[in-house]
Amino acid sequence: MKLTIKVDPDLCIGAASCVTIAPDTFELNNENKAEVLDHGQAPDGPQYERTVEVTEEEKEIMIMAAQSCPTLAILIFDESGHQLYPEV
Amino acid sequence: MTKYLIIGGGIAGTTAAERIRKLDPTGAITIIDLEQHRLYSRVLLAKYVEGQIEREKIFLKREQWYSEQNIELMSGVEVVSIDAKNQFVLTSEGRELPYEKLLITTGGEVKLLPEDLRGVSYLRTLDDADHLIKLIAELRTLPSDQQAAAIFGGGFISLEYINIFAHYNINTTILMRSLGFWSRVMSKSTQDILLSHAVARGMAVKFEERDLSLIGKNEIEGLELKDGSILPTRLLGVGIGLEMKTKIFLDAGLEVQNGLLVNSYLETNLPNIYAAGDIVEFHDVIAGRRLRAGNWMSAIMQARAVASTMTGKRTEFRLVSSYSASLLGMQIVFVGDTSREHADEVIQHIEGDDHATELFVRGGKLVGGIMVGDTRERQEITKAIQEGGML
Repeated sequence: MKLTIKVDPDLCIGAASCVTIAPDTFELNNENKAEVLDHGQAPDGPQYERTVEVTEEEKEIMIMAAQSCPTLAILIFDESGHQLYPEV
Repeated sequence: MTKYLIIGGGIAGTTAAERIRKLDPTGAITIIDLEQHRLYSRVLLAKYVEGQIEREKIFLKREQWYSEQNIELMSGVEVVSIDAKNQFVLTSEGRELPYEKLLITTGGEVKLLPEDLRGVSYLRTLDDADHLIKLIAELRTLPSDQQAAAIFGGGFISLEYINIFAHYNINTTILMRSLGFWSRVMSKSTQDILLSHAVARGMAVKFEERDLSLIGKNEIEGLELKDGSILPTRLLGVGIGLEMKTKIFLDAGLEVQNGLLVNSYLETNLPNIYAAGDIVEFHDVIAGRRLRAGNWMSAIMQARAVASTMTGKRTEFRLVSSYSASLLGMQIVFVGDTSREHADEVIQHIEGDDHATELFVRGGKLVGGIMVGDTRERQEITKAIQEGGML
């Protein structure tokens, strides 16, 4: 399945709990903000938003990482554009 | 069916409850929380006070989440004693709640000034933030030459107040208890970078003000400083640290020093009682010593580890924790063990006019780092600490 992961750089404060939980999906940039990776890689350069092919297990880790964000700066959408986190 | 009882519904307690539910779908989970609110982000309080996000947006769980997860949340309830022998706690409502596994995540409480007047603010809870919003609104109705605020303290909460007061263009004086920000942790030159940054953005600063006298009848009108002068102040933000309320733990026979003592598995000295979050002083396997790490990341990762242990898979807590702060746009990051007292050596690795990096070394290994104004080495420093090497 594909998920779209998006970081709001205005909300991100570099708490880095997402990087700790899902280091293959998030890394901090020079501005101390989390960027989104595709399985540890950054094809087409650094990005705050990416659509990534994931397994069920990887999806769970990404959601846990998003839940750990103290500023709710990480949004996750499924293929149909439905927002999985934060739940609306 | 195992009965899990969690004292404290903050990020550590709620994360643990969520994780326990995942690992034990049938266990009974109850959270007892002193506050009247469901889980919210303390990290967002300042942004909420600044009006940058709505109140509803700081809640991290929806109201229905607790019932959906089959987690009972008892709000506005205090635990008054723990009977570790018979495995139950007594609540402020006079109820005895039995447990098989007890988790303590009560966190810290703000240190208060000995005096209180209207206009004195603390910033720990959502209620504190609501109160501060009212005080700022009142202040802004005064003639502009009377809109004066002060901040007492030089740590993390002090920075939150600085950012908030600057956001509202309030005339602000920072009253440091020592000679700068994080004076026990940072070198003088690093502290000075932060000071210059604050002063250049209009903050007035006074040093070594340890005991403030509040002036005013019901509302604060000023502060008497150590030299006897009066600083007109209509709003005082106090950020002088946290204290751990540990009496009920001591009474229960739990070991307490600077916090509630736990080993690297977050187990206390008594069977079936665990602790996580700001309240604990834990054996940090990476730092190789017992310490407290009161920050968001530690709270979450400790909660996850302890939930595994409580549900039968004994899991050691292992993390190079870190936290970030910002002073009027200048980034500050602390990684690992940044106790000067416990370091063999602190290396001023980088020193510029507007940025600095300090490295904390013990036993020939990097154990901690502080970055101010330039956080680019954060991952490298974290990795070197994790691997027990040097930068």
